Amino acid sequence: MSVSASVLELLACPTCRGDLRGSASLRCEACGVDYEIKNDIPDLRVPSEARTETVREFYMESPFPGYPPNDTLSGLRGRAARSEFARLLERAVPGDAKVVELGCGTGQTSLFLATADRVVIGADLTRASLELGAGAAKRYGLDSVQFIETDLRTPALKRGAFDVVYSSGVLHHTPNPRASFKSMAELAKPGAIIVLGLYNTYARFPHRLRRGIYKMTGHKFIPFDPILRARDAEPERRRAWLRDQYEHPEEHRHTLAEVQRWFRENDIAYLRTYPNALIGAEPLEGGELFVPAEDDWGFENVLSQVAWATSLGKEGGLWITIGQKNADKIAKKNA
Amino acid sequence: MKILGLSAHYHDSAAALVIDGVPVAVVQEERLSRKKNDAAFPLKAIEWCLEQAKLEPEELDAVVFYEKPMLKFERILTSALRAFPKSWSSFPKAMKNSLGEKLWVKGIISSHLGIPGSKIFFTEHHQAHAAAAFLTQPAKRAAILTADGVGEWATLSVGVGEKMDDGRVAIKLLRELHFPHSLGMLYSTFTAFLGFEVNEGEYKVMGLASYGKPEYVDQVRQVISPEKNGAFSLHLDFFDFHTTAKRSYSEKFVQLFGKPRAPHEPLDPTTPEGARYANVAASVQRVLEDTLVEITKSLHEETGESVLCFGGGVALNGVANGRILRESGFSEMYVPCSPGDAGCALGAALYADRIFFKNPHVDFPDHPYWGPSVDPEELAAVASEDGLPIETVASDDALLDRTVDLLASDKIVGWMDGPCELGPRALGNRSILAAPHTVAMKDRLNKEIKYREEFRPFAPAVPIEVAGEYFELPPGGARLGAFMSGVFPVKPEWRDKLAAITHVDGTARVQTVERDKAPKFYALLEKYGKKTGIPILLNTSFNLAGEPIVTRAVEGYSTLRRCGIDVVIAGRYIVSKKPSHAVMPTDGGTS
Amino acid sequence: MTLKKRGRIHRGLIVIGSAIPSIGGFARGLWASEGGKKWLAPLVVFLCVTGLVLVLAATVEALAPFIYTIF
Repeated sequence: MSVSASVLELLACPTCRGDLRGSASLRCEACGVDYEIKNDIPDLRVPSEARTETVREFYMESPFPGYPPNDTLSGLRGRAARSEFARLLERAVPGDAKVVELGCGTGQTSLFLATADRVVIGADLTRASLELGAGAAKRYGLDSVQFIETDLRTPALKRGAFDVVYSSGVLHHTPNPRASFKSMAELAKPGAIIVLGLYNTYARFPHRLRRGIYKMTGHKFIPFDPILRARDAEPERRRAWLRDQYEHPEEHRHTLAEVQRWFRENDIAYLRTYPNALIGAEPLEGGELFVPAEDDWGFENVLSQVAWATSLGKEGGLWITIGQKNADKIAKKNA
Repeated sequence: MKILGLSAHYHDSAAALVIDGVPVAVVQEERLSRKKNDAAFPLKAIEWCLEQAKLEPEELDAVVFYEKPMLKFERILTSALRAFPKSWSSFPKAMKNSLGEKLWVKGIISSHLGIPGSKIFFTEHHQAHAAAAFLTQPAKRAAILTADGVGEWATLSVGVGEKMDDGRVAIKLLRELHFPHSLGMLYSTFTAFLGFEVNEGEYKVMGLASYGKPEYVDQVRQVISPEKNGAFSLHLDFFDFHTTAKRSYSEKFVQLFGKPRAPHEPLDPTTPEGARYANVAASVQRVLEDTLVEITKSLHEETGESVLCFGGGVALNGVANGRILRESGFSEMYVPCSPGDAGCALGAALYADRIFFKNPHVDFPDHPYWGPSVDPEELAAVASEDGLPIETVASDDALLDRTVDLLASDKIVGWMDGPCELGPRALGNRSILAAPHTVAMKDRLNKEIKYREEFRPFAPAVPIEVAGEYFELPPGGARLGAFMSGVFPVKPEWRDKLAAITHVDGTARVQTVERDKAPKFYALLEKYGKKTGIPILLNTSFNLAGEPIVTRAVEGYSTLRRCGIDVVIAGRYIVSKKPSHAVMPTDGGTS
Repeated sequence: MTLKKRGRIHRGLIVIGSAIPSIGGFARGLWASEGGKKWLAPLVVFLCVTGLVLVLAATVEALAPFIYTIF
């Protein structure tokens, strides 16, 4: 299987950003460099700095989050249906959107979103993870998803080409999250949606306590980790969680205010967070995940983040911020 | 009299407005709130119903709730205390669950609607089921059977109904069976054991059963044993639903049937483990059928009636209904379009009207279309905002011709027409329609639209007059098929040509369509028959997995955008998807 | 037509107003009933009153978020 035309127009040379052509291998029309396609996954990675390399090796050893044995598409969708966030995301992403998931890992979210007429690109640094994802895509018979091996800081993706740029649980593992965000934001079309999931400074605090105890007891004892306990019966997935949460070589934490600053720097309007940073707000029902929240009050935002320590803390304190690129220009155009 | 019937708080809340003996509006809360199986107090449904009749809440003569919360609470409390000390750990949770909103229904109704407590009435749960089954069908006399999980105490009841010549109505209860002995609970326990969601996954158990052999019938018989008059009792040491809310089966149950299936684990009946689950499903299905046949046989002998009305959640089991019709001795059988709890809102209102207030019987319009109507202009408006191609046809006839062309060329059609159906099945007003001929179509629907397990079959719709040519219908089968209530064999010579709707065991859940009840849908089937030679369409509910069936045009449109449906049709508009390579404008330029 | 929206406290008061007679009726029914249900009556009154307090203090239960561990 070669890379389809609708995918090719979303890719770019990681070195010079020129257009790519070809089928068995890809060639940059501008600078003439060739890129190989192995096992349906183009290798579009250029040598990266040492700290990125450490993270890559970490995931080569244990791809995250991994697949249960004998998985099916309906099983994947069944798991997703438990998550309110996944349901809201599925409702909100337009049926014909060009979607890119940066740091897709083993690709579940990309596969989950690859319905209707969407084109989904799952990008990751680690080939071992991508091959699991591409294998699953083949088993499920999904042909509108393409996995590529590339680095977030020099992405082989066309700037300004995507309707939805999604990245969850990734940027806080990069050496310079703020710079990574800049390169993420460049991929969005005017009016496109950015969905960013990061560890929250406040909400991850309980987890850091747990990890401290884990380290102090010589990697023997972890108190109160519900995810770990739920995976007692699945040693493979338990190990993946343990490594991802307790042994990661690179980790940062961020606040909503910091993310909002990144948004402003890159001409992205803040829409809302998930969970909602408005205290006592009605739960979302349909496709409003990409609709601006009613309010954005710094003081309330801080209170919410502190409160997330109890709710999100169980899961490691990851929260989602959603923004829209060049929203003001779009508004002017509609007026 | 203006009577509002309500069901709420367990699963599927709904509101029904009955004026002078006939319904004006009936709708499930989930269709308006867009939360699947919404059990909240049905504020949206109430508002919509009152709006239809332009009524203010104060103008209602009565509001009727479909069960007696205090009696139910007594049951929960008594069973928790009986199971003490085993139940102690889940006791606080059970109390918190039932002591909250659920107990104070009178106050809640009165606080939301602003009407005095003296206008608020309660029926018993199984009375509401019985009324929904008996009073919505044309026969003057009938035997009545209701069976579900549990209401207050009753889990199954038998009785007789009569509409007398002077207009009076009598519904006489003969016997009832009490919690925890419950067919519904038995089936849901197996549903949970097989890793499906209770109250939602029972269909899957029935679908899966066709892949298995009933090799565990003896084991299931250890769990449930027959009593006289066809009644039965459960052996409680195999169950835990009466002691805790955490798990419905006990350790002993697991010893008998093996390891339970973990939810969301893939299920493939061709693997040994999958085959065991299929065999367990087949066995509980067989025992359920046998038990229901015994009960209905003795009910037939006892009452001498020729018509059976069957209500309650268990009546959704179409395979069992097919067997009851063939083997019980009743010559006709009726299952309402919404035999479950949502239909109880209507049942409660009708029961109060005829029995409490002794109003004379009025013939019930025999169709399921009681919900909000679709507004085709809304579809055209949203589609044109997004720049999707809209085709407008000149007449209804042209629309049907065009639809038939699309279906015959293997397009998948989202079909919205008129008021939406009451109950869990789309019966031609909110349906996804497709050609029923090939396995490829079934796979496409499963993969691109329904995202569901392959062992769940799709249903066919067929004009009632010719149903017998394609399906082996027993006498009364065509009537039972009006609301897709029975599963019947596809005639062997047609199975290849109807591969998308023929289940693995050669059966189908047939919908028989009558011209005067659904004229447009009937005409569509007729025209499709003229074009292709077979007047049958695959009819599955218009929704995505995990969402309620679409109600308004915008929901149908949003479904089109999010799955592999090719076109959505409402009124005279046909909206199709953009050619897939269209480029979205990227400049911020002209305005 | 839209239903008149009432505040939570207002609704709570109406609920209590209607609850007291129904608890009374229910307890009287149990007390007068044949068989061993008499002793349930005081328990029921106690639990119902507890339940009323619960209604007033109803909190939203935190659901498992499943944002990070969807799959």
